[in-house]
Order: sequence, then structure tokens, then C-alpha cells
Amino acid sequence: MFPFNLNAQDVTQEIMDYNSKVAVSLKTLSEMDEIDVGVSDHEVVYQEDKVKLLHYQSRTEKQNSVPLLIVYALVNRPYMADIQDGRSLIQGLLDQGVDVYLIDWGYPDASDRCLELDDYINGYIDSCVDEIRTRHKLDAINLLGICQGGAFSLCYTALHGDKVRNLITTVTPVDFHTKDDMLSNLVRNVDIDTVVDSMGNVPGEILNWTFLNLKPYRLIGQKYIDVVNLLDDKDKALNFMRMEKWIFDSPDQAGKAYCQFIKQFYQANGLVKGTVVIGDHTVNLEDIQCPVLNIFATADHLVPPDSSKALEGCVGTKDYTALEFPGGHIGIYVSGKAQKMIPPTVGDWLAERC
Amino acid sequence: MNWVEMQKQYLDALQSFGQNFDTKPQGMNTGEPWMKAMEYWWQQNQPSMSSLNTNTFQKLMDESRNFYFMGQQLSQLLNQINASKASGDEWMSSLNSQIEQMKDFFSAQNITSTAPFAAAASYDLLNNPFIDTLKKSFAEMPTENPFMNMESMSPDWMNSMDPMLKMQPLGYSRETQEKLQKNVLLLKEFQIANQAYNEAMLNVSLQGLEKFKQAVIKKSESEEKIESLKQLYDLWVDCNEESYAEFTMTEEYSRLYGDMVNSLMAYKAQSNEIMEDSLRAINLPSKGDITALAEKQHTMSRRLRTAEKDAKAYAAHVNQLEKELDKVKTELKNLKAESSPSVTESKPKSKKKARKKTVEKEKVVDINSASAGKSQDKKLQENKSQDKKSEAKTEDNSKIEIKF
Repeated sequence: MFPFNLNAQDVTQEIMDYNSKVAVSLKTLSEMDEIDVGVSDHEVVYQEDKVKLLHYQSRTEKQNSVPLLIVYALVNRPYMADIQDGRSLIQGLLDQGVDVYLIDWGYPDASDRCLELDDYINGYIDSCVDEIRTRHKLDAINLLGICQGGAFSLCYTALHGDKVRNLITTVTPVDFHTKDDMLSNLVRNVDIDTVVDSMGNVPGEILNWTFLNLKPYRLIGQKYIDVVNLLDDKDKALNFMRMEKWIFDSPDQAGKAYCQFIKQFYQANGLVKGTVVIGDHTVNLEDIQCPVLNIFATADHLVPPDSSKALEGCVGTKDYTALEFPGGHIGIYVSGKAQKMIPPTVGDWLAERC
Repeated sequence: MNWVEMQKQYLDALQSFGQNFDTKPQGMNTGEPWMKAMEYWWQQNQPSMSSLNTNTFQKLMDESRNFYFMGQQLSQLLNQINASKASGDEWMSSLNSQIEQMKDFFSAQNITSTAPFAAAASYDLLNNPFIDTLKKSFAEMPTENPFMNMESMSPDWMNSMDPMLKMQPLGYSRETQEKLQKNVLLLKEFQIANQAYNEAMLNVSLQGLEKFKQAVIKKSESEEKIESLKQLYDLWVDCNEESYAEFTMTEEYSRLYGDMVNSLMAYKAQSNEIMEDSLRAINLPSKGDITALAEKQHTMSRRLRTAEKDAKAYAAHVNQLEKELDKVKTELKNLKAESSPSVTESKPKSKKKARKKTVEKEKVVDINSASAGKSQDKKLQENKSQDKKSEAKTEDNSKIEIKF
């Protein structure tokens, strides 16, 4: 039997309809104002070098007595967690009465090429944690890590457990050698020392294209054919362009820290093996004794679910909770489904433990 | 009406609106007029958009090329089948022919014997960010961009240079010559690794097309038919993603990618070395010098941060000790007050005696120091011993003072 239920005229008509949509798309894009991102009010309460500690304005009368510090990844900008009204993890947490702080790593430049993981974890994160502890007169605060920031949070909690009350990890890679980890396979045989020696800081552009090349036909091709169906609506067009802005807004990576992360985490799989060394100390996830909430996405192609689930067998705490989100790596922060699921779960989990 | 006529009509309609369209877009009469018309129209509107919007729309235009091509192929297939009144499974030979045309399109050119960089440039779908970065890093060089020259060089030509490249350098500039020879050899190694990588990626897309063909044939065996060009395009994307994911999870891919990146970085590192020598020769700071400064600055920053943390810790510790000390002092004061009330009553008398003694001592000290020039301490000691002997002498002392 013939597999097609259409004729040549149908195809021609479809192309003409597509062309009309492309024309409308061009009009919408050319009339679009500057794209704004980051909707929640905040102030910078501490700054060290290029790193800023943001404190978000509360949206409820009463807040949880123990504040939450969000540690974002280095590879993207953190405004993805606050990208627009109604699709903001930060807004959701504020609505749950959580007192939210966030570390903005800034844009590293040539002067930062010697920064190591020790500087980021035992330096900047520790300084931000101490600042919050002083402001709130607390011995320990809550920590929430996003992706690579989750890996950093795990290391920090293992090394400074007395300063962390509760730990939440989201789409965080723990086992970097799972069967379906494409990123890990990509860098397995790369001589990262030579890469960093040659380039200094690793350009953000290279990271952009590396991530897109995990699903190139969809992310570089099909996405732009589908988008013509959105661009006739200015609000939808704006939503799309906000995500585009974030996707291509990748900071350069401080060379030495990037080299250490790839070698120790991706190539040696040191986090599960207990061989990651930050400064003078070895990270042992068994030293994590505080309550842990581990959230992962079932359709995550960047951090496969198995990579995140491995945390359960590594931490020393008896209060371990896993939460499975039916979505992707980015959807867990920006989708409507995520707004209904993640902030209330996090809010309730923290309220029970503070 | 056939495909090309439809496109010509479209462009004529477009041109009738555009007053500034002085000339027809290039390639109008060959290939894809519709696509060319869209690109021409897009170029007219481009300057009015922000860079982000421009980039987004450019990507839309780039992928539309594939979409239009697929539409063209499907349209031709359907016309062929209609014209030949093919029935049963005869349509499959037409499908096979179209798939072969698509394979030729996505192959772009024969990459096994000509310039690998040109092949990489034609393989738009899987853009290699490392090559882009390397090209950009050479773009601002004072000399000619070596990549521009290398694009026309074939590996066969490069192989013929091997004897010259492996020749022992001689003379005063032998070290420079050795480095330049090594540089070209490293570039050749990169070309070979890059070519192997691109061949593998091409095979992935060809396998994807084969999967696509099988998926279309499978549709013929099921109740579900392909209702639109977009459905066909989505099927093509799914099949290619599957083929790509299968290959990129293999060790072979990891090795090929690693070889390509490592050879490129080795070439770049060695090029940096030559640049360092050149800059040093004309007394300009090099990347190595700046890196050394950055490392020193970083060490100092770390030491400063450690010192600041230690200082904070010491300050907190001192603060804590001070609080404890205050607490101890308060407790001691309270204890003293509670433990001895009698001592408290006699205090005034003893105070009076002490006051009298002090006055007497001071007077005697004044007299004695004025006359003999002895130290005050010594006088105090002498006076103390006098006090100890007898209180009765107090009056005598005063008399002595009065007498004097």
C-alpha cells in the first residue's frame, strides 16, 4: 500500500502556508522589543570578584526561618531559574515562603583563567554561605544545587557539613559513567590539559554547540521549523526568544576549574569513587549527613536519570528523598508542569526539616 | 503547475512589492528559486533586527532550506507516481531514486579526496565549534590566514611534502625551521583526524536516510499514513537522531572526536609557541608572560582570602574570649561581694590608716629626694621599713618633717 495520503498539490499548498508563516515570523521578530529576563525583585547583598550574592524579595508575610542558597552551574546564566512571570522556580519558592538567595557567577575573563574548583567551592560558595549565616545569625543554612551547581553543592556539603542544614540537588550528575551519558562519552578521550593550555578559558560558544550537538537535528534544525507556528503570537514569540537568549548566553569557563571538573568528574568519575580532591581535601559523599532531597528529570538527555539516582547509594544520611520529574533538563525549571510540582515539594520538604 | 513554476510565480509576486529589488537574486535559474527569494527578502529586512533575533531567523532560514528540498523531493516523487500510474509496490523504485538524490544532497561533495575544511563547511547541520574557534583565532593574524590556504590543499599534496617536512634543519635558524616543520606536520595530522571525523558523521546521516527509507516503507504496511510534508520531515528528524545517538554512544565516536580535538589543540599549542617566539623577538609581552602574571596574581588572591578568613576567625575568637573574660570578672566580683561582709566594715579604718601612711610617705620622699637625690622607689622601700618598725614613730616623723 502507498504510504502517503496526500498529493503534489497538497505539498505545494503546505509550502506556501509555511512561507506565509515565515513572513509573519519575520515581522514579529523585527518589531520585538529588547528581551527582558529575570522577573523577581532582588538586591546584591555581597560581592567578591565577579561573584554576586543575590537576595530575593519575599512574596509572603512569613518565611521559613532557615534561608535557602541556590548554587547554579558555571556553564549557563542563572536567570533561567527566573526566566519569566509564571515560569520561575525562584518565584515559586518565594511563594512557598522560602527565603531565597542565589549565587551569580558572572562572566569570567582572562584574569580568571587560574581559578580552580577550590576557589569556587571553598572560596566563593563558602563566603556566600558565611555571609548568609552572619546575616541570619544561624549556624547552618539550606542549599539547593542546579546541575553542575548540584555537584558543587555535594562537594561543599561533604567538606563543610556543619554549615548545611538541608541539601537539595536538582538534575545533578553524580555517576558520570552511566551507559547513556553522551556528554561523558564525548569528552572521554579529550586531552583537556592541552585544550586549556591552548585556549586559556574555554569559550562559551564551544559549550553552546556541544550541548546542541547532543541532539543536533532537533535542536539546530527541527526547532526552527516548528517555531513558525509560534511567532504569529507576540507573547509566545517573546517566551521563545527568552529561551533562545539563555541558550546562547554561555559564559566562558575559567580554564583551570574547567580542566579539573572534566578530568576529575567526567573522565575519572571521581564523585562516586571518592577521588575528587578540592584544594587539600578529598570529597567523600558519605560525609553528607544532613537530609537530602534529590530531584531528577526522566527525559534528561544532558544528565541521564541514572546519573542522578546514583546519589542514593553514596550519601551517608538516612534522610534521603528522591523525586522524579516527568520532563527534560530545562523543562524541570521552565515548564508549567514543573511550577506546579517542584516549588511546593521543595517548600513542604524544607518546612518539615526547619 | 509544477514546482519551479510555482516558485517563479512567488518570486515575481515578491519582486512586485519590492521597489529596491534592482537585480534578481543569484542562482535564480538554478536549484531552489523559492529559497533564494526568501533569502533575498530576508537580507532586505535584516538590518532592522537585534543580533539575537537576526541569528534566530538566520537559523530558521538555514533549516528551511532542508524543508524546501524535502518538499521538492516529495512533490517530484508524488508527480512521478501519478504520471506513471504506479500501483502496488512500483512506487518503491521511485522512492529509492528520491532517497538516493537526498543522499547526494546531504553528502554535498566527495570529501575523501579534496579539502577537508571545505567538506566541514558544507556539512552545515553538524557544525564543528572547535574548527570555528580555530578559524576565528587566526582571523586577526597579521599574516595570511593559514586555513584559507589549506582549504585548497589535498592530503595527497600534503603527503608529497613529507620528505621536505621531515628533513633535518640546518644553520643558524634551525630551531625556527624545526618548529615550522613540526607546525605543518601537526596541521596535516589534524586534517587527517578531521577528515576521519567528518566521514564518520557523513555515514551517520546516510544511515539516517536509510532508516528513513525503511520507516516510510513501514508506513505502507500500517494503517497510519503520512498526511503532510511536516510529518515526513519529522520522521526524517527522528530517524537521523536515532542514527546519530547510536553512533555517538560508541567508543569509536569517542576516539574519533578525541583524535580530532586533540590534534587540533596540539596544532594550536604549537602555533602559540611560534607566536611566543616572534613576540619575544620584538620585545612584546606574550600570552605566556600574561599567564605567568595571572598565576602570580591568583596565588596572591588566594593568600589574601586565606588571611582574611583567618583574621575573621581570630577576631571572632578574640571576641569570644573577651566575652568569657567579662563573664569571669563579673562572677569574681559577685563572689567577692558574697563571701566576706566583715572585711567590708573595717575597710574605712584601714583606708584612713593607708591614706595617712601614704601622705607621710610622700612627705618623707619629697624631703629625702630633694636633699640626697635618691630614687623614689628606694625611698619608698626605706619608708616602708620605717613603717614596719613602729606606728608610734609616726608623730616623730611628722615632727622631723615639721622641724625641717
